[in-house]
Amino acid sequence: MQLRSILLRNWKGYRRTRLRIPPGEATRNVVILEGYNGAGKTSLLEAIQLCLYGRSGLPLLARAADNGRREASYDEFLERGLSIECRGRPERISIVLEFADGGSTIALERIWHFNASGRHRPRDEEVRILAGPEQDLVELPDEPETASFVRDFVTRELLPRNLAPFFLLDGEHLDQMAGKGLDEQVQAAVEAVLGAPTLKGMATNLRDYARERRKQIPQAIDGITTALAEELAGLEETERQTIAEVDALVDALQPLRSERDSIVRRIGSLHGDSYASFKALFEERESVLRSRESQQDELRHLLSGELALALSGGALRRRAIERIAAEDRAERWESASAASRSKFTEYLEILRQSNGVLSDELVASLGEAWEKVWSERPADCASDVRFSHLGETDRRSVAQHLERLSSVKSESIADLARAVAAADLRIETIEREIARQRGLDGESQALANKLNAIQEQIASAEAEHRLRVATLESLRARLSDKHAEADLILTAAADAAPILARARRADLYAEIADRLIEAALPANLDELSRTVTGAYRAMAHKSVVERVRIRLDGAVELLAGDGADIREQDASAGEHQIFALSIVSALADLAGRFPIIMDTPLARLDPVHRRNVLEHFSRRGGQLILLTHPAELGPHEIEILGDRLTGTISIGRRPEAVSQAEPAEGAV
Amino acid sequence: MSATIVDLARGDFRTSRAADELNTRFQSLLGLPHRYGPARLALGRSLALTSAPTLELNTLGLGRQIKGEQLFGHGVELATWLTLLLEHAGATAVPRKDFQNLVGAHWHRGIYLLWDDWKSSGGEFDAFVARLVQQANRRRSKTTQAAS
Repeated sequence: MQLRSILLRNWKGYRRTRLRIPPGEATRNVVILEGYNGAGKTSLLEAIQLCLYGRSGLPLLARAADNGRREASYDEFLERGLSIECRGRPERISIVLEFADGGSTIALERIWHFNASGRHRPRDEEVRILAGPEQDLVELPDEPETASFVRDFVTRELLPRNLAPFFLLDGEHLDQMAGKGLDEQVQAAVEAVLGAPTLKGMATNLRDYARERRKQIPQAIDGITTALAEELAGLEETERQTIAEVDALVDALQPLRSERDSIVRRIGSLHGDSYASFKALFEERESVLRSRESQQDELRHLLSGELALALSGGALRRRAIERIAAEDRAERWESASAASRSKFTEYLEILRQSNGVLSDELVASLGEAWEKVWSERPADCASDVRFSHLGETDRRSVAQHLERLSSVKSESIADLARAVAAADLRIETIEREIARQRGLDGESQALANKLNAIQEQIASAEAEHRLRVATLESLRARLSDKHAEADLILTAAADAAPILARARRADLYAEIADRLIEAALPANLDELSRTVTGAYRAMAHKSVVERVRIRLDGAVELLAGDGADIREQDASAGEHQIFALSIVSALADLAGRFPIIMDTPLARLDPVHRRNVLEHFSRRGGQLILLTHPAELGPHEIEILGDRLTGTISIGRRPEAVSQAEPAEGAV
Repeated sequence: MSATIVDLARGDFRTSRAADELNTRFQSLLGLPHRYGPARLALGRSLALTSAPTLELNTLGLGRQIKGEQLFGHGVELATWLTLLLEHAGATAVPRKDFQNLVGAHWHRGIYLLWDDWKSSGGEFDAFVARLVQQANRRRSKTTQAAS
């Protein structure tokens, strides 16, 4: 797919401009849009991002970083984007992007209207789409469906929003990516390529749908005891509160972790070579802490769960299982016996019709004979009901649970306890080593103190987070039981069955979406590792890295020929940038046919990296559009591009030249 | 009226104060985050004896209460505890109050048995856990006291 033209009206410095991008092919695929500082390179990238995604494109923009006020700042950002000459009368900004893909073309136009005071309101936005060989106008649904239709169209035909940060890049975002560290970069990329945010959103919507459907059965709700309904409502409210608490903790942790990483890097920059080992120690401590936490959870779970029940002993469990079976047989016999009595009544009626009146004595002896033949109580039925709390399904699940308890093993519990103790020992050793390295000088000591304080805040927030997540899981298990209980009652009210079935299906699909994310992750990691390796080796200085391996837990290893992980030796800022670009390249290869558009991506790289990056990205084959300052690309770089360069377009004005961008010929 | 599963989940349960203090001590020794951890182990331990327990209250009185849904969990776990307690009691209908007393008595007896187990294991976590697992897999019940 190629971007063929960009039409801008009243957007920042562009009053009425059409940029025609020369058509390319697989071996002539690079276009340079060149401009001095202030010429409008970043404005051009912003125009593309906003045209594609509208309001949801705002977080992609480096110059609109006020996430806390996103809703308001979108309108304000647009108001600031309206050309100064247009202020004082009703006006509009219009951005049109034209794409060609094989024989078909797509033109996407987004228009924002402004009143005479230069104000833009959320509803004052229009979208038009022309598609197909005849450039037919695509019919859009009415509000409120329009936005989701456009979003789906852009996702399907152009570029999903979650992949945009990897295709529409500016130097600042690249810096942010590179600043995250290798593991976090990979995690963000994998989530993006699998569409995990979309799937997670879908699962939430489905669960909301199921909840709403269940609320729509008032006549059946009447059938549930008031206490159960109140308990369900209470649990759901607690679940909502707990989710909000978990989200708030995640939000609070993010800046703390960023600050911690930044201090670790600063300490590293003070100590040169010792940085790598310091960082490695720090990361190892984090990893051991995490794994100890999960082992402890498992151990506690086993001790107060299965082991506690199993302690009751095999004899009692066996008796309980046999009793359950005997009560089950008794219930089935009772049910069969009732059916038999009804048949006996029919039989007597037939006899009366053919023989007239039957004496009481005859009826009594017939009854006894019938009972003997058809429904004599078997000896292995329970004579009374001890487990009246168990229904038919409960009997089965409790018996299975009791059977499973026979397999509790001491080794697994003891192994877990030993693993926790070993982790404690390792953490102590690492902390001693960290303390030794921290004491190198006054400045690093000050940083280390700050690091300690932040680490304590993180540890406390993480502990709180774990607690809340555990509470949430337990709540959900209880909710699931209560819903099952409520569903049973509701199912008895047969009229409600279709609605309930839809709610249950929605819950099931939500569960599938959750599992899909878990299952898809490992399947994609090998391919991602392979593609990142190719890109990294092509662009990095250090050819000593033979292979990049992305492990199942998202951790990244840089492996030398002998299989050793040499990641700690590859921790320079430049190498992190190269790794970030490798991820971009890998995702472009794996997940998209959209052009890669980069705004001043090379400025922060040294000449060798710069040439490697140009060479690698230009040889990928897909369209590559570089928004650059003239100083970024010297004769050497242009030489590397060679015949791959389709054209260079100047943006804005410079003293000795005039923009090659044309005045607009007309809108879509 | 016999105790239903809802009674069990919503009811409050307590044991003797001395047993409750021992429960707290176990919570710390085993690194368990909740009171119900040692309490469940105690219930299981006491259920392994065939005789019925009695709640021995001394001058210290009763310990703190715990909700049934915490002590026994929920869903199939809750139903399994109720099944084992009723089977052990050999009763078809246990009034709610009697059931609470029964649980308190099992808890009391079980926590003291666990304490004997802990001492016999030399205060070693691994040895203690191995001992409990051995108890769990024993096919025949003891009549009055735990093997030590």
